[in-house]
Order: sequence, then C-alpha cells, then structure tokens
Amino acid sequence: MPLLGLLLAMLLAGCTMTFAFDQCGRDEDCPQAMGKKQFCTSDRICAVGTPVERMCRETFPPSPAANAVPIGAILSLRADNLSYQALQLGIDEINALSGSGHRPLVLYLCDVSGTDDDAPKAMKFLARERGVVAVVGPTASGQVISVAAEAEAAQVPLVSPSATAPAIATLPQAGKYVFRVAPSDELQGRVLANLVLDASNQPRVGLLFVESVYGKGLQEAFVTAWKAMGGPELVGSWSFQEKNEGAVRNAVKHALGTSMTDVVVISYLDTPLLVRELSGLKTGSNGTRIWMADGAKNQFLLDLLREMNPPPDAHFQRIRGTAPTVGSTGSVYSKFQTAFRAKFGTDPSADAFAAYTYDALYAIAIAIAYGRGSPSGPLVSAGLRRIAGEGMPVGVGQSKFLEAVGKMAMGQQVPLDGASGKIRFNDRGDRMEALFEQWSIDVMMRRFTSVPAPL
Amino acid sequence: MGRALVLLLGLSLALPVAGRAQEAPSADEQAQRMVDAAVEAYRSRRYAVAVDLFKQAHALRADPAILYNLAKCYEKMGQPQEALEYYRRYLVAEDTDPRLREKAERSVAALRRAIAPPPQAAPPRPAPRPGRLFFYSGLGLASAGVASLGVGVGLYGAAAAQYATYTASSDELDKRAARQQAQDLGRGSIIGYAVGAGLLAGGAVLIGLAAWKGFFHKETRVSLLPFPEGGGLLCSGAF
Repeated sequence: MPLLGLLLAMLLAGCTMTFAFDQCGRDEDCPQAMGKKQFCTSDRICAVGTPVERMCRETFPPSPAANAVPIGAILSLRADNLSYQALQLGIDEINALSGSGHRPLVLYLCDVSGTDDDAPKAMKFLARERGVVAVVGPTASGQVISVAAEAEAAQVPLVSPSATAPAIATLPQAGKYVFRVAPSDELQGRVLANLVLDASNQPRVGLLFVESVYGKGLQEAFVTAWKAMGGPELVGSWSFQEKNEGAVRNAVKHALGTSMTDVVVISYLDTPLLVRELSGLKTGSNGTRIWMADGAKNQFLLDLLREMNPPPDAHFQRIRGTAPTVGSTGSVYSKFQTAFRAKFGTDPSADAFAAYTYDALYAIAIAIAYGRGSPSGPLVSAGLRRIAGEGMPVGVGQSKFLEAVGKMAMGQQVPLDGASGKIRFNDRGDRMEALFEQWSIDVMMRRFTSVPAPL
Repeated sequence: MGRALVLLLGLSLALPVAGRAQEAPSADEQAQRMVDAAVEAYRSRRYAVAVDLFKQAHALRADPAILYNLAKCYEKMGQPQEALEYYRRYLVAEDTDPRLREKAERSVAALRRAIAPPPQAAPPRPAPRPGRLFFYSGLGLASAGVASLGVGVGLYGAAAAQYATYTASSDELDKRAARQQAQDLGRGSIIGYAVGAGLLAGGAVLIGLAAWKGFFHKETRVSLLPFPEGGGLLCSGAF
C-alpha cells in the first residue's frame, strides 16, 4: 500500500515536471508569432516586442526615495534624447522641493524605438509592474493610439508631448486617459500649407509622407488646408513605410523623377535617409524647396550634417519646416533653456518637443497633487482635467511649482504657463492654444533656427 | 351489601356477622357458614382450605370483604401475584371499609416491591478489539492521503491550464504571469502528491500495525480477483 501510494505520487509528480518553461537561449531560437518577430528574454521566454529588460532599463533618479510617486515615460531614445534630458531636469527640480508638502517622483523610462509592439508592451509593464500613476508619452501618434486601450484598462493617464495626429482627439479615451500637450496637426497642416503657398507664385507641389498615424494625419490635414486655400493640384503624392529603407528610396526615386517647385516631406525616424536621398533634387534659384514638419526637427537631422562630409550646404539650406514651438521669448522657456544648458551643456531648442516633454512632466506632477498624498491614476486624470479654465496661469518650473500644487490640492482649476506656452486642456484632452514656428537649419552653426509662423 | 362484616382484628380477616333465624338456610347463611369455616381454616394455617371456602362463600355472596380475605390467604401461601390480584379486585369494589382499604393498599405496595424484578445489569460490553486505535488512525491518515493526492491532481490540472496559456501567448508579461502561476501550481501539486503519499504510507503502516495486533478477524481475507475489465482487490471477512 505505501509503495503503491509512493509510485502514484511519483507518477503524478512526473506529469507536473513535464512542463518545459525554457523556450529559448537567444533571439534566433524564437519562431515568429502571427508574422511578428519574437525575442528571447533573459528568463528564456519567446515573446513579441523588445523584451522589457532591454526596453525599460532606466530609472531616474537611480536611487529614488522610498515614498517617491512612480511615473512612467515612453520615449524613443533614438529621437527623444533631449526629451529624456528634459524629464531628468524636471524630476530633479521637483524632487528638490520634496518635503514641502509633496512627495518626490521616480521616473521609469521605457525606450520603445525597437518595434511597433514596444509601446503597448511598455504601457502594460509600467502600469502593472511599476505601478505608475501616469505616463509621459508616447511621443509618436501611432504609439499613443496603440497604448490608449491599455491606459484605460490600467486607469493610468498618459500625456503625450508630441503626438499631433488629429485622430487622437477622437479616441474614446481622449480627455480621460489620453492627454497631449502637443497641438493637433490640423493646425500644423494649415500652417504648412500657408507657408508653401506663400513661397511660390506657381507652385508645383509634391508630397512624400510616412505611412503612420502621424504621417497620414498630417498629410490629410495639409491636403485639406491646401485645397481650402485654393492651392493647385499636387503633382504627386508618395508614401513609404516607416523604417523600411527600400520603400523610402523607392518613394524618393519617384519624387526625383517629377518636376516640382516644392516637396513636402512628412517623416519621423526616416528623416536622415530621406534628406540624404533628396540631395539629388535640383538646388539653386530654380531648385526644389523642401518642406518638412515637426517630426523631422530633431537631432537626427543635425547629426546628418556631421555625417555628410563636406555637408551639401545648399541642400540643407533649402530645407524649411514647421513645428509647434515654444514661447521662446517667454520667461518660462528661458528659465527652462538656461537650466537645461547648465545641467547638460546642450541647447534644448534643437527639439521643440523637449520643452513640451518638460511641460508634460510638470502637468502630471501638478495633477498628482489632486490625490493629496495618495495619488492614483484616476485622481491624476481628474487633476489633469483641472489644468483648464480662464484664471491666471501658473508658471511651469521650480519657482511656481508649489503654488500650482497648492491650488490643485484644493481642487482649483490650474491653467499653466508652460515652456511651450499656455496649457489648458479641452474636454478631449487636447491643448487649446498652440504656437508654431518656421524652422530652418543653420549649416555653419549646425543648429536649428526658427521664426514664428502665422496660423 | 345486605349485611355488615365483622372485622377480626386478631386475624386480620374480615368476617360477616351471623344474624339470621334458625330456619332453612339461605344463600347468605350458607355463605356465612363457609366464611366461618374458612376463618377457622385460616386460623389453623390451612390456607388452601380457607381459599376454597372463601371462594365458595364469595360465589354465594359477592361480599368484597371475602376478596380481601382471599388476598390475605394467598399472601400467607406465598403467592404474591394471586394475592395482588385479589387486593386489586377488593380495591375496585364498592362499599369497602376504609380501614381495610388502607391496609389493602399498603399490602399491594409491599407486594409490588417484593415481586418487582431486580434491576437488570447492563450486558457486558465486548472487549475492545485489539489494535483498533491503529486501524482507525490509519484509516484516517489514508483518507487524508487520498484527499491530498486529489488536491495534487486538481492543482496539476490548473497548472496545465496555465502552461497552455504560457505556450499559446506571445505577450511577454502575460507569459511571465502564466508561467509563474503554472510553476506555483505545479509546486503545489507536487507538495500535494508528496503529502498524500506520506499520509497514505503512514496510514498503511498503522493499518498494518492494527493487523499485527490482531484487529482483523481470522476470516478476513485480502485477495486479488480477476474481473472482466481487469484485476481487483477483494477484502472479505469480519471486521
């Protein structure tokens, strides 16, 4: 009888031990899942999307206070380095004030530049594993749309600093769990169309755009505005898939074969390749002007100047672009810029969205005060909805932070005067006011220069 | 009743009074004579004769005092059941002497006590079977062991379901959670099996000890029997 029992137990235990949990030793061991590449995690799991251990490695500050409120950031570090630095600056400023009636912050960063599946995965990780109460980002419009459902499910609001696609305002989560400090591309499309139309008497305009939520959204906004302003028929419109070199080259090849006075290029991560390939366009007085948008105005483009030796000055000098801008003459932006330079030794103006990211962080930090020491996602969301109203805006930055926190804690509406201008959210979580610029490249100084663009 | 009875206190008998003229003897007179003879017989301790005479007298004259006398005779003869019967008949009769009734009642009580069966002693309990503590403890342990094995099987089923989720999903976080659950449930099932096997073995050892102590009846047999669908254990005998 005992022997029988033991045999039975060993048999059953043997069944349990037949589970094979180790699926891989390296990425190549993992098969595709529904046509998507799978990666091998360090604990030998095959899964779609960059493993979180590679994607979410940064914690700032590295040694957070025990009572720190966790917030997340979903950025593409390949393009958003200045944005991450802006976050670090903001966290340091806010934490320096901790003990004055508010809790310090700890930021968990996920770099989602790897695959299209990274952003929703990062959102899930930050909400479930890190318990964040809010997220700064994602930066790309498509990523915002891809994480919106998870944000709602986890009840964690996100504030995107740079997602400008008009479609975001139509999300069911908009104004509840999706907010953005970046202005909608409906406005930028209008600004861009206006500039292109003003630049030529008889414009022959072609359009190159990335097939992403951002690219399609801005392209539609541009075309709509162009037609509304009486612009002539576009001579061509070519699209390409993001991060697909062949598709980019093919689209550019078609553009190069078309006679144009102006080409509007709507791109993000592929900007350096596009600019390099478009160097084949005729330059000079009868050359083709290149118009770009906010997605192209980042460090990649300046880095390209260093990579192309000697840089084709005329090619870079003909590039113009639009972007949501910052209140560069305002004291808030000046303070941000000064503090940024002092901390990192670089100028944040190379990427307008650095200031937007800084504002997004402050908006969240102030909204956290609505929870009065016990913040949660829904309370932060309610706090973000109170960044509205007609009252006197409170300046973003260290000096006015406690004042804003105090007002928020009392349940008051707190419109903000951010580094990117006045911030008030409408009921769709969209910013009610925005400033735009026309930017160009100072080839000698290897930096962007800008002037205000008329709306 | 037509005539009063004379109570013979010395004999504790109740006697009717003779008071009739010397003419042809009536039933009453005959009864009285028989009563007198019965009293005489009683005095000379010829109780059986007295009983016959009293009964004949009572047949002639239904005097309750005769019933009382009959009860006394039977009492003297050591026949308490009969004595009780006549006392009862006397006590239910009408027009009885209160003092005699009182005596009859006391006699009835005394007779009842005398003839009441002695309290029955509880049947002796059978001697406890040797080793029964071992047997029942072993049975309990074995039952718990089987239950624990059942829990182990249940946990294994849940672990297998989580494992299926683990292998089917391509989401890293879901997979990690499913794997953790499958591992926890798997560990739980192994613990269930181990505990079950231990309890089962302990139970078997205790039942073996009970057998060694002689718990099982001699006729108990455990044998392997062929069944149409396969083998089986047959346990027969008296437990």
